[in-house]
Amino acid sequence: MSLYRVLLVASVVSCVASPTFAQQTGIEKSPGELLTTFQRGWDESTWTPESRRRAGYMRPLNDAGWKIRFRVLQGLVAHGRNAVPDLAEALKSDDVPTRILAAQTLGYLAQHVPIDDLKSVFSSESSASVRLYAADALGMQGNTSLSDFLSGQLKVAKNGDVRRHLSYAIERGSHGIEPAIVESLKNWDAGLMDSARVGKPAPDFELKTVAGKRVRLSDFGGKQPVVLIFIYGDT
Amino acid sequence: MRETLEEFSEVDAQVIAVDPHESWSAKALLKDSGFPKDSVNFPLLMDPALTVSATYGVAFQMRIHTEWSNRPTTFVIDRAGVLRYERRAETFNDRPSPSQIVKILQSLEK
Repeated sequence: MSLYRVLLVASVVSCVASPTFAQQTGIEKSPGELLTTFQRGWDESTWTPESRRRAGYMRPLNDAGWKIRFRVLQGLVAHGRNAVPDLAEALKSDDVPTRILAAQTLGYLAQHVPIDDLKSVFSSESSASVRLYAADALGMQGNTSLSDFLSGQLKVAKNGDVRRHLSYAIERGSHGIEPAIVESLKNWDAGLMDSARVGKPAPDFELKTVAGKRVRLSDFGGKQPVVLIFIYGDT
Repeated sequence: MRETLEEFSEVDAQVIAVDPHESWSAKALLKDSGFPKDSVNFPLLMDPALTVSATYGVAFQMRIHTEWSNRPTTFVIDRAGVLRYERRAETFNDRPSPSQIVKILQSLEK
């Protein structure tokens, strides 16, 4: 590990000490096995035509599929370039959620990603979600030579969300996915998953503000109560 | 929102918001929603690796249009750092009202 990387990791807004890597990330499973785990554990049967019409569809409160999604995403990202062949194949899966997960994961693997596979999503893909995550993944490359391609897609894209994400990808220009974010995902202790419980100490964490200032939850300990709000962008 | 923050400061509470996006995306969203960056007077924290969102059990639980995101959720933590209240949204915009939160905060102080 280079000093540069060590500094990056040290600067990561992570809340935990490093876990035993293999145990915590699910990397004992191969990329193909991780994708199969996802397909078995991710149930979209509650995603109905009615729920599609709502502004936001919630998975059931007792649903554990999101945990599987998170562990599989983390495990695939931990595999790095070794996950890329399976993910490129998964982009062609018959299963839409698998294609969505593949496009989403490829964003984090920026430097290893087969650009042409991501580009081809825009000519062949029927799901707007896959196109949206492919737009994100291309933006996460931080490669300004992709801006002509992205602008061309923006001209023809009809779905509003895909258009917005294409715009973000163009806007971010040379700002690729930060290695620190990838390291933070890989090194997160999955034992902390869903560990916030009423009546117990709130799990501590440190994150950066939008302006770059570090804030630790426990900084407020003993001083003030905290109202902690998880938002989706603007809600 | 501003009124809400004033009410919260009356009960001496700190509001913290966690956003699942990378900072450049959050800035774009703030701009798109007409929210100049300087007017956000509470910590808007970026959780782009979603590790805090996963720790608090909210990651990948809402599908907004075509994207998987955090379930909108509100927690209240007391001065001792103990989690005292949670509301995990079951529908979009399912949030406790500011006055409900103020009541909860006041009940913590008793």
